[in-house]
Amino acid sequence: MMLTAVFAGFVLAALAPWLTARLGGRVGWLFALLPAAIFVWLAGYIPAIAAGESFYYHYPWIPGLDINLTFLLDGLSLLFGLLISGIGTFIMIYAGKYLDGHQYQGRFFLFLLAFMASMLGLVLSSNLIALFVFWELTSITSYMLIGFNHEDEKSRKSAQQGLYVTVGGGLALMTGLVTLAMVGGSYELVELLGSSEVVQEHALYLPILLLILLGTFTKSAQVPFHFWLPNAMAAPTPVSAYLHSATMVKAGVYLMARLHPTLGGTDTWMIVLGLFGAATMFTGSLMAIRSSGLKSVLAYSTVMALGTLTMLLGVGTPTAIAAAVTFLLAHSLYKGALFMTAGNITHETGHKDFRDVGGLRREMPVSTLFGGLAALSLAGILPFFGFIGKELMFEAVLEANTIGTLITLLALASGIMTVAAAAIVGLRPWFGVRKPTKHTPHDPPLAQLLGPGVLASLGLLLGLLPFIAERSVLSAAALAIAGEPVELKLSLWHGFNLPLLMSAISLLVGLTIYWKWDTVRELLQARRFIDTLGAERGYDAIMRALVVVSEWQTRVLQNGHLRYYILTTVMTLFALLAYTILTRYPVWPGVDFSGIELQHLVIAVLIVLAALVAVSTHSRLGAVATLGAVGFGVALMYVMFSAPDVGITQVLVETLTVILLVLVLFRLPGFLDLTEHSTRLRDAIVAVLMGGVFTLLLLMAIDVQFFPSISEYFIEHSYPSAHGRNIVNVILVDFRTLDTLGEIFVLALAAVGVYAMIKLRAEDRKEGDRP
Amino acid sequence: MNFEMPNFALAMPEMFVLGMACLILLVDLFLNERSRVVTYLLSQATLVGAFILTLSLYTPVRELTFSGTFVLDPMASVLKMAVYAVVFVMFLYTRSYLQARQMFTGEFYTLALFGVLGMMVMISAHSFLTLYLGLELLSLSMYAMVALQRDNRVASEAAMKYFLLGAMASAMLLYGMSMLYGVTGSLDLGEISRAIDEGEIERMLLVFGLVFMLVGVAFKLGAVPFHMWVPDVYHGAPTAVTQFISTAPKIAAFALLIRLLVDGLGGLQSEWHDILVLLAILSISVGNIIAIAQTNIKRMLAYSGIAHAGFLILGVLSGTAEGYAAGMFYVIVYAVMGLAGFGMVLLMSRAGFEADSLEDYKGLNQRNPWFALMVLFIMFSMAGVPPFIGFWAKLAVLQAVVASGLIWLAVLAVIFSVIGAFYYLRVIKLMYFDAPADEARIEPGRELAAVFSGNALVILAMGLFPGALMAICIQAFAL
Amino acid sequence: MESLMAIVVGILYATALYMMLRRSIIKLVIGLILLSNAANLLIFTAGGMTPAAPPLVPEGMLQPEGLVADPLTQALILTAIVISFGVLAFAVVLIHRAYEVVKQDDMDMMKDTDR
Repeated sequence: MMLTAVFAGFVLAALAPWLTARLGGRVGWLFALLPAAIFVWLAGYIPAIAAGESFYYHYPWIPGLDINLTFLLDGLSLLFGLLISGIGTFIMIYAGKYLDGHQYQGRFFLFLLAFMASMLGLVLSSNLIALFVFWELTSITSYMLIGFNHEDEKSRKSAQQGLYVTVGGGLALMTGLVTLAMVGGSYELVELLGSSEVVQEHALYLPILLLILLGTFTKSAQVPFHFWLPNAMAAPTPVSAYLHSATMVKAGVYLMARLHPTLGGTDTWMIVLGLFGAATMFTGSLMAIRSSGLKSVLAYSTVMALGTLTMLLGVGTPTAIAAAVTFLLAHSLYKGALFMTAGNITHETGHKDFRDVGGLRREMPVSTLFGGLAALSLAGILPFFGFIGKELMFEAVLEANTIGTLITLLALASGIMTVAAAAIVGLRPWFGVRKPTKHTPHDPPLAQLLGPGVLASLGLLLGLLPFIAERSVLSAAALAIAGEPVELKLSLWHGFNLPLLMSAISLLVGLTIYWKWDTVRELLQARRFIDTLGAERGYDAIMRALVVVSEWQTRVLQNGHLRYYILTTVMTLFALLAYTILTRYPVWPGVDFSGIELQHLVIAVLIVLAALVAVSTHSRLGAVATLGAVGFGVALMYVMFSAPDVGITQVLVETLTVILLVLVLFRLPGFLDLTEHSTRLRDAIVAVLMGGVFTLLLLMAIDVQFFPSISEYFIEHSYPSAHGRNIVNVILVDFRTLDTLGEIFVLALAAVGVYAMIKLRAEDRKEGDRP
Repeated sequence: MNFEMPNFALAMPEMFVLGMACLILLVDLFLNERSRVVTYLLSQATLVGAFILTLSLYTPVRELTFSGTFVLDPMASVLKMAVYAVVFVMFLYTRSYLQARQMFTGEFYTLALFGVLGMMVMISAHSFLTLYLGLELLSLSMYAMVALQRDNRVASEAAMKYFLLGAMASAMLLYGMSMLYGVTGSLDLGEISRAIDEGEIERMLLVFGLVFMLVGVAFKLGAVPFHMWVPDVYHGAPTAVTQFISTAPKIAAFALLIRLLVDGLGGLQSEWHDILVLLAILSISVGNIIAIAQTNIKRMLAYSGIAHAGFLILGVLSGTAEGYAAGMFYVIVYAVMGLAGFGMVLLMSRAGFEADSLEDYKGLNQRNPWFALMVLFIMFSMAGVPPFIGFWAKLAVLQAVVASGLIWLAVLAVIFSVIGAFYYLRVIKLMYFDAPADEARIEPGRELAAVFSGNALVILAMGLFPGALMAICIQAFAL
Repeated sequence: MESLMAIVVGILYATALYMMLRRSIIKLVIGLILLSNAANLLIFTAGGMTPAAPPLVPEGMLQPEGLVADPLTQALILTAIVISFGVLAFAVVLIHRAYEVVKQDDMDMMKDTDR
C-alpha cells in the first residue's frame, strides 16, 4: 500500500500528457482524485499515530549497498504527508482551470504529479539515501516547473539558478548523509534517531552537521541562499502556490526537524540554526515590504516563514517545537490560499503588481473574502490559527537563552513587517480606489476558488477550535521532532502577557507602515545597497570567476603544444620521484668504477659521443649516421656482456631503422632551428635533470642485493625439459610462448595500422588523380 | 612448475575474437562497398559470440593458466562482458555515421576488434608481460583508429600527439615494470605480491618502479596531469572513434589499475595511496573547472571524462574491497554514460556536419522534445543527480572514501562535482530555455534514434534498479 | 662497470628527452629512437652485467657450468627491441602522414586540435 501510494503519482505522471490531450482542462479534477485518495488513506492513520504509534515499511531495493525502500510513518511524516496530499488536491483542480488550453498543459501535469510523488516519498522515506533520491527528484521536477514559461529571459535565468543552488546543496547533503550513516552505523532513520549520543560526540559531528545544513539551507532558501526562491516565482502560479509555499521549500525544514533528535540540541546547532533562521526571517519580511509584485511579496514572506521555522528548530525548547509545528501548519494553509488568490487576480485582471490593482472587491467579492481571511491569518490576528502560531513563536524566542535577546528583537521586527505585508496582500487589491485593469475582472470559476476557500476557512476553523489540529497531528509531529512527548497547550487566549504585547505592538506599527507603504517602499528601494547584500551577487561573481579560472587553466594546461605536454609529464614524474626520494629514502647510492676494461670504456664513450652529435648536428644524414653508431655501440655492449642473441637482433633492427629513416626522412623537410636560445637552455636543463634521475635510479638498482631469480629455474630446466641449449631462445619459444605470441600480435597489429594508413593514402592519391 | 598443458579453455573468448578478427580481415578483402555490411554483421557476431563464451566460462573462483600469466576471475568475466556490450552498442551507434563519411571500412572493425582483444588480454593478465602486451595491442589499435579518416587534418594531428605521448607513457610503464622485475625477480603478479609480503625486498626501488608504472597507468586513464592527450584526441578523432576510445578502454584501464596495484602491489598500498589521492584530486578539480570554459561539446565531455577518471581512482584508493567494487561500478557506469554522451553528438550530426558545438544544442526541446528529454537524462546522470545511474556510482565511491576515513577528500570531491554540475546543467538550460540557432530537422536513422533512446533509458532504468549491477561488482571482489 | 653504464644510460635519456622537446618533427623521431635504446640498455644494466658467460647449455650437459648471465632479462630485451621497432615503424608512418596532411613540420603549428 505504501509503495502504491508513493509511486502511483509517478505512474499517473507518465500518463498525464496523454490524458490531458484527451480531456483538456477538466483533467485537473481527475488528477485531484489521487492526492485526495492519499489524503484519505493517510488520515486513516491519524488515530493510531495520535496515540503515539508509528509505522515502518520495508521493501528491498539495493541490498548490496544497504539501501532499501523503507518508509516511516509517524507524526512528522503524517503532518507533511497530509499537507502535501491535501493542498495537492486543490492545486490539481486549480491548475486544470488556470492553465486550461495552454499548449504544454500535459507536460505541466506530468511534472506536477511527479513532483508531488517525489515530495511524498521524501517525507515518508526512512532510508537516508532513498530520502535523498526523492529530494533530488523534487529539485529536478521543480526545475522543469519553474522553467515552464521559458519564453521569458528572467524565467530561464532563475530556473538555472534555482536548480544549480539546490543541486549543489544536494551534493553536499549527500556527503553529509553518507558520513552520518557511517558514524551512526545505519542508513535507517529509525535507527539513527536513537543514536544521538554516538553521533554528537563523534569528531565528525561538525562536518556532518554543516554539510547537511548546507543542503537544507539551500533547499529552504535560508540566508545567504535565499535569492533563488523569489527569482523562481516566474513559474506559473499553481507551481508557486504548491512548491514555494506548502511543499518543496519546506523539505529543508522537514529534514532539519527529522534529524533534530539525532543532530539537534547542541550549542552549534542552536546557534547556527537560530542565527541563520532569524536572519532569514528578518530579511524575508524586510524584502517583502520592499517589493511590490504580487508574487514577490508573497515569496519573500515565505522566506520569512522558512526562517522562522529554522530559528524555532534551532531554539529547540518544547515551546519552540510546539510553535514550529503550529506555525508550519498555519503557514501552509494561508500561504497556499494567498498564492492561489494572487494567481486569480493576475488571471482576471492581467496585472502582476500590487501598485496596479485596487478596489476589486465589488467585481470579485468571493475572492476578497477568501484572500482577506488568509491575510488575517498571515498577520496573526485573533481568532485565526496564525495568531496561535505567532504567539507561540514569540513565547519561544523569549525563552531562548543563548541568543535570546537578538532573535527576540529580530522576531519583533519581522512580526511588524509581516503585518504590513499581510495588509498589503489582504487590503490593497480589494479596497481603496478602483484602478483600471486590462481585463474586466470577475470571480473565477469554482475550480479556482475551491482551494483558497477551503484553506482560508481552515485557518479560521482551526483558530477557533485549535484542539482539532493538536490532537490529530500536531502533538504527534512535535513528539517526532523532540523525540519526547511535548505538551502543546494550543489555545487562543493565554492571558495578558509579553507575547500578546508583542503581537499588539506589531499590529499597530505594522498597520502604520502599511498606511505609509508607498513612502516606505520607495525609501527602501532607494537603498540600493540592500540588493548588493544578497548572495545573488556572490553567485554571479562566483560563476564569472569560475569561467575566468577555467579559461586561464585551459590556456596554461591545454595549449595544444605537444612538447609542453611532454614537458609537463616529465616534470611531474620528476617531482613525484623527488618527493619520494626526499621524504622516504634519503640515500645515496655507491658508485663503483673498478673493473672497467678499456674496450668497454671506449664503446661507452662512443655511444655518448654519437648521441651528443645526433642531438647537435644540423645535417639529417649526420644525425642518421650517428644514430646508427649509437645503436651499433649498444649492440656491441650486448655482445660483450653475454647477450649475443640480443646483440644480433639489435644489429638487424638498427640496420632496418636506418633504412627506414633514410627512406622517410628525406621525404620530409630538413632540420629546422625554431626555438630560441633560452628555450633550448630550459629544455637542456630538464633533459639533464631527467637523465640524472635515471642514472641515480639505475645506480640504486645495481646496489640492491640480488634476488634468487626465477631465471634459475629456466637455467636448470632449459635443456632437461625443453631440449634447448640456448636458454634465451627456450624462454621465448617455450616457457613464455604466450608472451611471444602476444608480441607477434602487437607487431602484426602495428603492420595492420601502417598498412591501413598507407592504403588510405594511396586511395587518396587515386581519387586525387581524378579531376 | 611443471610442463602441464595450459588450460586453453579459459582463454577461449580471446582465441575466438582473435580468429574472428583475422577472418574478418580476410573476408573484407573480398567485399565491395555494397556488401561491406557483412563485415559489420560479422563483427557484431564476434562480440555476441565472445559474450556467450565468457558467460559460459564464468566461475566464482580464480583460475590461472598459461604458467600463471593468464587469470580468469569474476572481475575479469564481468569486465570483459561489459567491454563486449559497450563495443557492440558502439558499433550500432556508429554505423550510419561511418557510412556518411566513407569510413565504413573493414579497417575500422578489425582495429576495433583487435582493440577488444587487447582489452581482454589486459583484463585477464596476470603477469607484467601480458598486461603490457594487452595494453600495446589496445593502444596501437586506437592510434590507428584516430588516424583513420583521410584528409582530416585535425585527426592526423591528434593521432600523432596521441601516439607520441602514448608511447612515452608505455615506455614509463615498461620501465617501472622492469624495475620491479629487477627487484623481485619475477614478472608474475602473484609472485611479486608474495615477494613484497615477505618483506625482504628493498622497498625504495619497489616504490620507484611503482611511481613509473603509475605515471603510465595515469596516462591511460587520462588522469591529470597526464591528461593532455584526452581533449585533443577526443576532439580531433572522428566522433565514432571518440566514442570507442572514451568508453571501453576505460574499463580495461580500470582492470590495469586493479591488476597492477591490487593484485601485484597490494603490499605497497601505503605507498601508492598518496599518489592516487593526488591524481584523483587533480583530475576532479582540473577536469571539472576546465570543462566550464569549453564551447565544444566533445572537449567538454573529454574534460568530464577526466573528472570521472578522478572519481574512479577515488574508489580504488580506499584500498578496500568495497572501494574496488565501487570503482568497478563507476567505470561500467561511466562507459554507459560515455556511450550516450558521444551518441548524442552522433545523433545530432549529419553528413557534412558535426554537431560538436554547444550552440548546436540550443532549443533542442523545440526541435525534438523526446531527444531533449533523453539528453536531459544523460546530463543529470553525469552530474550525479538521482534517480539516474551516475548518482549511484558517485554514491558508492563516496561511501568507500568516507568509510576509509578520508572525509576531507570526499568533501573536496563533492565541491568539485558541484562545480561540475554547472556545465552539465548548462547543456540542459541551452536545450530547454534558449531559442534554436539551427532550425534544420534532426533526422537520425531509425536505428541510431532507437539505440540512443535505449541507451538513455537504460541510464534511467539502471538508476532505478542499480541493485543487480552493484551486487555483481561486489561479488567480483568478494574472493 | 654498471656505474659507468648508468651514466651512459642517463646521458642517452637526456639526449632523447631533449630531442623530443624540439619543435621539428624529425627531431622528435630521433628522440624516440634514442629513447628506446636508452630503455633497453637500462634493463640490460639493471639485470646485472656478466662478461663472457652467455646463457647457453654446453653440449653434453644438462645445465650450464658456473654462473651465466640472466637469460630472462635478455628475453625481455629481445622482446622490447622488436616491439620498439614495430612501434617506431608505426610512428614514422604516422608522422609522415601527419606531415602530408598538415603540410607542416613545425610542431608548434600543429595545434589545430585546440581551439
